[in-house]
Amino acid sequence: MKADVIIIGAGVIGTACAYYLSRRGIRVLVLERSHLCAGATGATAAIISVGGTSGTPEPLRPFNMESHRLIENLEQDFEKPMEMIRGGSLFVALNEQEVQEIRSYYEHARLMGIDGKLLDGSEARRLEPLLSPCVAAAFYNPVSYHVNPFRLCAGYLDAAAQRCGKVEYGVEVQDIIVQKGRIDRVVTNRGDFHAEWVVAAAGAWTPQLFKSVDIAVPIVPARGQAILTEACDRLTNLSLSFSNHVYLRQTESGNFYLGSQTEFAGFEDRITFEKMAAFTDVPARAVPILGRLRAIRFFAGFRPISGDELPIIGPIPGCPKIIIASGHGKTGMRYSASTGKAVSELIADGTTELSIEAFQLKRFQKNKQK
Amino acid sequence: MFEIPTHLNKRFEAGVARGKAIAVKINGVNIRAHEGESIGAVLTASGVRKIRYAPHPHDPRGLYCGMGSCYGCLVTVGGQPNIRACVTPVESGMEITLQDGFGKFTVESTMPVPAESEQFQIPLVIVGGGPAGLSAAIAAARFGIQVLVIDENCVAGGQIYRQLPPAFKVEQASKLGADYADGRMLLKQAADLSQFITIWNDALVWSVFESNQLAVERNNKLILIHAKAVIVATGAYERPFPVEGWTLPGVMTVGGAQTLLKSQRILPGNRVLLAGTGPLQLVVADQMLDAGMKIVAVAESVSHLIRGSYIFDLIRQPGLMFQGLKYLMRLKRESVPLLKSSVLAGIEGRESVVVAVVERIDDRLNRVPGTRQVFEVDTVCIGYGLIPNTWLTHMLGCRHEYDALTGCWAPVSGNNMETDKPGIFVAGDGAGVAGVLVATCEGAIAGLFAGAHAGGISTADAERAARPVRKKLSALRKFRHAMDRIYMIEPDLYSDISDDTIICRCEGVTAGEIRDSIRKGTLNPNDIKKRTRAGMGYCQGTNCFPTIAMILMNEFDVVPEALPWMTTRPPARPIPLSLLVTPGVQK
Ligand SMILES: Cc1cc2nc3c(=O)[nH]c(=O)nc-3n(C[C@H](O)[C@H](O)[C@H](O)COP(=O)(O)OP(=O)(O)OC[C@H]3O[C@@H](n4cnc5c(N)ncnc54)[C@H](O)[C@@H]3O)c2cc1C
Ligand SMILES: Cc1cc2nc3c(=O)[nH]c(=O)nc-3n(C[C@H](O)[C@H](O)[C@H](O)COP(=O)(O)OP(=O)(O)OC[C@H]3O[C@@H](n4cnc5c(N)ncnc54)[C@H](O)[C@@H]3O)c2cc1C
Ligand code: FES
Repeated sequence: MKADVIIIGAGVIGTACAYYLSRRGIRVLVLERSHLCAGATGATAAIISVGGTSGTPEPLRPFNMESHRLIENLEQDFEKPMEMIRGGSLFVALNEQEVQEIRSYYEHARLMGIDGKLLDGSEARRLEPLLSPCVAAAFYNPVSYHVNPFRLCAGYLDAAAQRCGKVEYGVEVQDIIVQKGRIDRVVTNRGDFHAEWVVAAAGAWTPQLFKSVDIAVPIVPARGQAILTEACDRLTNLSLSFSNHVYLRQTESGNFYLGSQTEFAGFEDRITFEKMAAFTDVPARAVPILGRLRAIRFFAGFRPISGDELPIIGPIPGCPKIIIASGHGKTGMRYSASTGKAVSELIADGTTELSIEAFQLKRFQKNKQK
Repeated sequence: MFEIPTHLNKRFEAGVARGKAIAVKINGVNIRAHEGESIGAVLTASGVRKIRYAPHPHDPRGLYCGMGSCYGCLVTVGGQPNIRACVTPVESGMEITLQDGFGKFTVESTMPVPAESEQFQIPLVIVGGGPAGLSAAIAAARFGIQVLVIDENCVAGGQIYRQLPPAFKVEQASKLGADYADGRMLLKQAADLSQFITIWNDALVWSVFESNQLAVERNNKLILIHAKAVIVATGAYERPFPVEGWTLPGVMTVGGAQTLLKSQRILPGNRVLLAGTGPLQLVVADQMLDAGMKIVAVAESVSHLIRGSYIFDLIRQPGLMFQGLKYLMRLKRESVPLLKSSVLAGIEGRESVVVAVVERIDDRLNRVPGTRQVFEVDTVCIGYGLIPNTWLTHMLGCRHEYDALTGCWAPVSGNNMETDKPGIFVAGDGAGVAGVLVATCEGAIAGLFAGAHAGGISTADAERAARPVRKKLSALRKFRHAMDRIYMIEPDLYSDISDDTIICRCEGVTAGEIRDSIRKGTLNPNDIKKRTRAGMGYCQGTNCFPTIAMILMNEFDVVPEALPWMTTRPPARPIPLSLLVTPGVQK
């Protein structure tokens, strides 16, 4: 099969791009050096929220709304259910400072049209009986849901394959050669590949794709660590969030996922005791039953995070047919559908329905010149 | 759902006086037990074989591995679900509830008191208190080095020297066999050096941080240890050999059955078929006959137990040869059929085992049509060899290699038992399965050179002390090599796994699902894991990865060198989250 577009990386962004491009009848070839969800997507909490702890920066708000709605409806097109659990999310405050924090999330969510609720401690416990008396207040966001990230990506990819997509595993892209503003070839450990377009969706490794093309892509790995507990009966449908980027959810199979905080430690994937202790402490106090569950696996992932924490979606300077789709940082799952859709529109129509102006790589170059 | 008979008692004493009689409740029924017995032993002694319905698929399970590795025997104790029955001792008045699906956590549950914590440094840590670990400790301690031995069992001794629970009293040591006596002797040697050797039982090394800091759980306490040298002597566990029906209650590993017999003095069943390869099943058959069990047959996958071409290597160890012959004669004398070139082909039953099927194989390990033999049994013991427990060496970042003879991966080590990571040593079955005598020699060598690495012995002294051990070891290894050739496990032995056979016992994933995921995805076990959940269960792939590796090699032409491992992550075994909420450890 001759591909129109080569997508580098089979994480949630690469597979979403494959899905939306194939829906437009565009032939895609996904090149993945390892396997499905080998990167950040393999460690993610996969909570799909609107608003949220870090807030949604202005330019991302339409993306947030659209993507949230799109993912919710993807299953019709997927072979297997993506184990979506709709229960909303609860931001929990344990002290006065955190009460102020969640109030701001509440306001923020309202701005985005979410009819959330601010609850006092006892109201919060009524909604979520797992909570202990140390919970002072909570903000309930009814629209959050969470999914099984592997199912989401396999769904994107399999649906693409059914149309006009293909994936090759074990292919590591080593360079992209551009001649006179056009893609000459994609150099890999398995020889050269050719296509008119390239979508660079290699997560935190995206900067490494550009060896001979002289551009700087300001994306670095932001490590997140996570704990998975043993499975038990369904105790909650909510995802629970705490201060300092700590959250938990119970997966469809009954395990609790607990994560994750953010560290800049390069690609070091060793688990550290300090972090795990740090993000277990508060949830275990707020949700006492956690202390009785046992951890069965610890792991870490590298979020691709950009200089200003906004994603990079758009062509690179000097070659309009190489499109970067990465740098989604802490929230790549939630933006996956809209990113894929925008990339497909960019390639098929030359323009996108939702503006991606704020996500252009050139924003960093402007900064540089200053 | 669960039947709790009250009239059965499958205990036998044979030279041992049990601990004090106590009463426990199983699903509300009063049951007799004895101090020192495990919950699993009490259940088995009372005739409760079906101990649990797995959540997915909802099928009955019983005791399987008997050594805490498979997580098949989870029960609820008091309000705490998912306790391993096989390694948890009973206590008077204990309320045990058998689990139908997931164990129940109640919402009122409160957070347990946060664990305590401690950090310290010691020259030499040995993980594993079996023959290898104890021999290492003794060798180093003789030079005055401070050694800490950490073992997760309640008594040190390891697998072969598994001791009786402390609450049991030995009345006639002669009835306990030579292994028992050898084990006592080794433990005594260690005890005599107690000013240098500290042994922690019931202590689990569950993680490695910062490249060589060991995290230990002991009495709900978290301990972080820095050592100058570490010896990993974590032994081996039994190779999974999936056939349809192998998850039924009444199907056990041969070692699991042995543990019940040897250290709990309980009959694992009445009518048993043993299927596997190698000497361990002969040892256990002998112990079963001693205990008065009926063995319907022993199925051995190889065709000749002694092959001419290896006779010279075998004869160098007349003691071991002789022992093997003694076991064979015993079978003959008691008219137990020894079926050569035969493998386990299926197990049937609804609630527990009723039938086991054995089939002949030809020289190329293909099943021979028309050779099915059906046995009515209540117990099947599977014993297709051992696999080194490499969790810790993987965590420590040591290099591993596949050994085609034993069909498994083992850490690579040099003459002094040091791995490619300086200061990390290995010994015993964890360094490559080779039996107790090799384990003892390797342990001694590792102890000496790890001691040297820690700065307590000069290398010259270590070398001098190691010399006689090296000589013995090289002879033993030749013997072992010959045995391995005879009992070689080839991937082809796994060629007939049907699509419906469960491969991942923890998550209930079948061979069909695994094959399907390989076709859709890649030949990488981490990919298979994400797509199917095989490897995501309690044992974290310990008991399914070996089969997945065999399927990949056998059916998908993956060469072992190109086969990535499932990423090794902490914890070694599930640890309570409360352990992380530890006061006093800097966060
Ligand atoms: C602990 C944690 C929790 C998170 N929780 C959430 C959450 O709740 N909600 C949310 O929305 N987001 C969450 N995120 C963020 C989200 O998971 C990420 O933003 C997202 O997964 C990034 O996807 P990606 O496809 O860009 O990158 P990745 O998933 O990293 O995919 C990149 C892929 O490219 C491949 N690759 C790399 N280099 C090459 C090459 N040279 N050639 C070929 N292939 C290559 C890699 O193998 C990898 O498969 C979380 C992240 C972490 C780590
Ligand atoms: C089930 C079974 C039954 C056997 N029966 C016989 C027999 O009857 N006759 C015979 O000749 N050979 C038998 N063998 C083989 C024999 O046990 C070994 O050759 C010998 O015991 C190897 O000694 P070792 O010290 O290397 O390992 P082991 O004796 O297995 O000791 C390893 C120890 O390490 C501990 N350990 C492992 N991981 C950790 C951790 N993370 N933290 C703390 N502790 C840990 C284990 O609890 C164990 O006590 C048996 C093996 C098994 C697995
Ligand atoms: S058998 Fe335990 S995870 Fe597969």
